Amino acid sequence: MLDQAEIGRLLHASRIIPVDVANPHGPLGLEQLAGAVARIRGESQPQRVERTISLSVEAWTKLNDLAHAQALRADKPTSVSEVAAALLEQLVSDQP
Amino acid sequence: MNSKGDPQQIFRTSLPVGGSLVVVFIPSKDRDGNAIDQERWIDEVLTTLGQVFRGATASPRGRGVWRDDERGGTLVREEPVIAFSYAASEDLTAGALTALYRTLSRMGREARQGEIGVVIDGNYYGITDYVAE
Repeated sequence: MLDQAEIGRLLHASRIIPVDVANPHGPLGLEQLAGAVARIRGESQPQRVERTISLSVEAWTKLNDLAHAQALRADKPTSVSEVAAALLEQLVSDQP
Repeated sequence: MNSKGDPQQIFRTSLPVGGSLVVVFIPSKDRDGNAIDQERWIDEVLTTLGQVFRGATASPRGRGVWRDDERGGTLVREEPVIAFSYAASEDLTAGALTALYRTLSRMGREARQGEIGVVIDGNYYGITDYVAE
C-alpha cells in the first residue's frame, strides 16, 4: 500500500493537505468534500482584486506575444492576464 | 429471515470491493475564466480511472454562484465536475498513479489550469507541475 508521501511524489503534487470531511461518500458527502476542497484552493490564493479592464487591440496583441514568449521560456502556460498584472504591479510599485 | 449476510455472496459478485476513494475535480474554466471543453476532460479522466481502477463515476454539481467579499464582491462562477472511483487497495499502484498523473498533467497544460486537485483517502494533492511525458 502506497503511503501519502509516495502518492504525492507519483502525482508530482506541490502540496498535500488533509481534508476534514468525516464521510465523503454519496452525493451529499461528495458535495461536502467539494466544498472543503474549494476552501483549500481559495485559502491558498493571496488576496487579489479582480476587475475587468478595456485595452486596445494593439496592446492586447503585444501582451499576447509576451505571454506566448514567457510560456515557451518557462515551459508552462502563462496567461495574458498574468503578464498584464505583472507589468502593472511592477509599474505601480515604483510609484511613491 | 437471515439478518446478516455477505453482500458479495448475495449479489454473486466476483469483483473486488473498492478500498480507497479517489476523487478528481474537473474544472469548467481556465485560469483566465474562459470556459474549457469540460466534457472532453470528463471523458478522458473517466477513461483513465476506469482503466486503472476498473470503474468511475462523474457527478455533476448543481450550477451555482457565490459572492466573494474578499474580492470586492466579485461573483465567482465555477462548476467543477467530480469524477470518483473506489479503488481496490491492490490497484492503487505506482503504475496506476503514473497513468492518472499523465492524464491530469495533460489536462492542466491544455486546459490552462493553475492547479489540478485530487483527493485520495482524505488528502488533497495539489498538482501544479505539468510535466510532458
